[in-house]
Amino acid sequence: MSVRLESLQVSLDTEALFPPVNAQVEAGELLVVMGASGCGKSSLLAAIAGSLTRELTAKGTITLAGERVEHLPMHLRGIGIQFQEDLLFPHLDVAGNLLFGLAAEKPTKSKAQRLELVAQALQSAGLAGYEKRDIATLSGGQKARISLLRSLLAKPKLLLLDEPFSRLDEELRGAFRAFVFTQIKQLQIPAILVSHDRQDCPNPHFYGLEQGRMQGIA
Amino acid sequence: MTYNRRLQLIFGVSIGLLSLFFIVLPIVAGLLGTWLPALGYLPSVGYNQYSWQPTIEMFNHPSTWSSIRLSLGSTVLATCGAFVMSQWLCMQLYRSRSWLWVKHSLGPLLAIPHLAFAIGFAFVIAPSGWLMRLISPQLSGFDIPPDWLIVNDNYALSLSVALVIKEIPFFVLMTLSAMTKLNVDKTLQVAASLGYTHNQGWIKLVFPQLFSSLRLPFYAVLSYSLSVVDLSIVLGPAAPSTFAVLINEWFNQPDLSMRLVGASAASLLLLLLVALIGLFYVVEVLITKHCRDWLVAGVTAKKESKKESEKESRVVAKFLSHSAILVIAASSLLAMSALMVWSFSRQWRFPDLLPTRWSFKNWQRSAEQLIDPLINTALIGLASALLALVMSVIILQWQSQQNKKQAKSTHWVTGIVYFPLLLPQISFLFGIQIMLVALHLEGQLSSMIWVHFLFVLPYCYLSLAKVYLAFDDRYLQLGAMLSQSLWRSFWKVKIPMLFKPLAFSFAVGFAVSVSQYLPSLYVGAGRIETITLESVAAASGSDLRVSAVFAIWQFVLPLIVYALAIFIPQWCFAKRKAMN
Repeated sequence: MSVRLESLQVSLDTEALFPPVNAQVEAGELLVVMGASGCGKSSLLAAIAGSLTRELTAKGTITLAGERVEHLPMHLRGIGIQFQEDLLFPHLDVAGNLLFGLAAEKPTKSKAQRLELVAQALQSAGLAGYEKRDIATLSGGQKARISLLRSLLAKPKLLLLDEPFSRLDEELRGAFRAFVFTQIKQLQIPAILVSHDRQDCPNPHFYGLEQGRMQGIA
Repeated sequence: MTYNRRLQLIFGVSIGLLSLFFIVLPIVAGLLGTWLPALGYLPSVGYNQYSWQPTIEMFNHPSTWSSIRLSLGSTVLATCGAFVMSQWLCMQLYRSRSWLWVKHSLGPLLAIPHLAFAIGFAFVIAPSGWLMRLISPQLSGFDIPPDWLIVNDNYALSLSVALVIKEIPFFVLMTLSAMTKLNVDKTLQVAASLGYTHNQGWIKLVFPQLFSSLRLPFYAVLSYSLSVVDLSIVLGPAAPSTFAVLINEWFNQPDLSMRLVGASAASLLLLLLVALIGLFYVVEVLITKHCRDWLVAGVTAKKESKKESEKESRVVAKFLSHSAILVIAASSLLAMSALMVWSFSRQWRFPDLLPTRWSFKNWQRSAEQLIDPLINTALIGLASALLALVMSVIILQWQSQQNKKQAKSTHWVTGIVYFPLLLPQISFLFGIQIMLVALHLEGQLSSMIWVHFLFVLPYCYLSLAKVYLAFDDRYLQLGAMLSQSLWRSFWKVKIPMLFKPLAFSFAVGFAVSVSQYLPSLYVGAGRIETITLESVAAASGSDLRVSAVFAIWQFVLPLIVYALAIFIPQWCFAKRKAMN
């Protein structure tokens, strides 16, 4: 599984927000895209996910696991996205939120089997037995982890991360960052992270959105 | 074309078609069906020639001119009175200790139907009413009720007062909702730092910004007051009555030629409304023009003595504003209590403050009479509110997907939705009746549900729009990505998260449907009785106690739905803290 972006560009009216993006991310790898705020980082992710607002238009191709997806609506692209906010559904409990990510498994797996998957996922995050908890009673770090688990349970072919650490305080940030990177490695899916914080980049290189090319961390 | 654009197009086209066939065309038909008979053309009863005869007859009728005077007087008095009072109250009470109390009392005050309030209000202010009993015989010296015409007075004053009391909470609610769009606190702080008093800051900075959002509600109240019939029958003058009541009588006379006269009067009423709105618009333009200099004239230096008197007037204003809200709240409370007491009274002689003998008889006696109207009312209310809610959600979902530039291009829908509110009901319901008769749809439950839907929709939409459009649609996107289905995400994420406002909007719609009088009268064709129709009939009858029972039901039915709309979401999400 890998993702390839070719001359991907987002424009407002006719004006492009950033130079065309050409990049390839392999399974289990993380591409970090950096740029100052307002340069179109979130729009790039929205273009990949298919959730661009209507004033913006995307050009270029997105190839996911060998298939072109840029013409597909967002819910059929098989992409997961993680925002700054956890955006957990407040009307469901922890298990409900995670089961929502398992909707696609419904025809083949029984409820008990799906609950088992949920339990395993929670255990992997150190949250065993949290199924019945109300979202509002969780700490920020717990919410962040459950939100990521929810994205991953849907078995996305690509994970997008939109500054997922910036809302967390210093202590939690490091732990959650490590959690995310191990999950990506373990599940062997490609991931694209946008950030303006160089600490979020575990690699020696990142993609400079404004420059339109890979750069090394100075 | 991308998937999203295609979806948007389907949405837009379906909304356009739905509103064309269920709102625009019927209203146009209703207007034409009133205007043509006004010009002498009503072939279904044998009038095939255009003529001015109905119009001439209308103007020659001895009641017409005095009725018009009464209607214009009470409309302007009620609308302006309520508007000025509401603005003054907001200015005086904003950030005072009573502000929160005002906000909380709005819901209950608005929940009381106009008609039930009017019937109860009549019990309070009538010569034999509670107020008079309170001061009799010791203070007033009356042993029997004085022979005064308080209710149904010749100047339509009790009608105007009732309208003022009922519309103030509505205007305050509209003002509150307009205030959320601006930063009132900061504005007043800035004003204060520039040396303006609270009131000056409010009048010069806050009010001008609020006004554009209050214009439509103002016109809607104008239209409502001008064409209100049920309240007018209960509280308004009898001979001559207000113009709308007169028109209604003409429309319901056995002599068919009088319907043509009624139609031309109904058309004239619409013209009167247009003229009134035009007049108020001109007044607004003139005021804005002349006040521009005054607005920026700055603060005039105050002498010390003047500051003292200012402090005094501030105290007086505070006292007056508190008295005003007290009067509004107390009159509503008294009116409702009067209904309750009357409904359980067996013997209640004049100066006694309470009945000497109580009984359940009135309730039992009316039970049989009430079952059918109650079932009809509930059915029509539930169905029309549900339809209106679904339509509001479709429209809002569509609008929420537009970007800011395109959002302007969806305003036509809002215009169509609000249109039935601005149009006086009596100016097009006769035409709708004719249309339904021609289609053999008169007196059917489905037509009744549809006509209620027309008037319910604007309120459902209005009460839902802000929350719905403020919803963070990333939840919807995430839900779609996770479940691989937009539909599923919509049903399982967005709808449940908005369950509370949706339920509330439904309850508002139900209450509006219950309170409809004219639409039920003209579309029901005497075959479908509703609680409001029965209440008006009972109120003009002789037995006050039965009338009270009916009015209470008119109030209780929406109250039950309001209670459920608040209770059910709370119960569903009892364990979900973030949902409350």
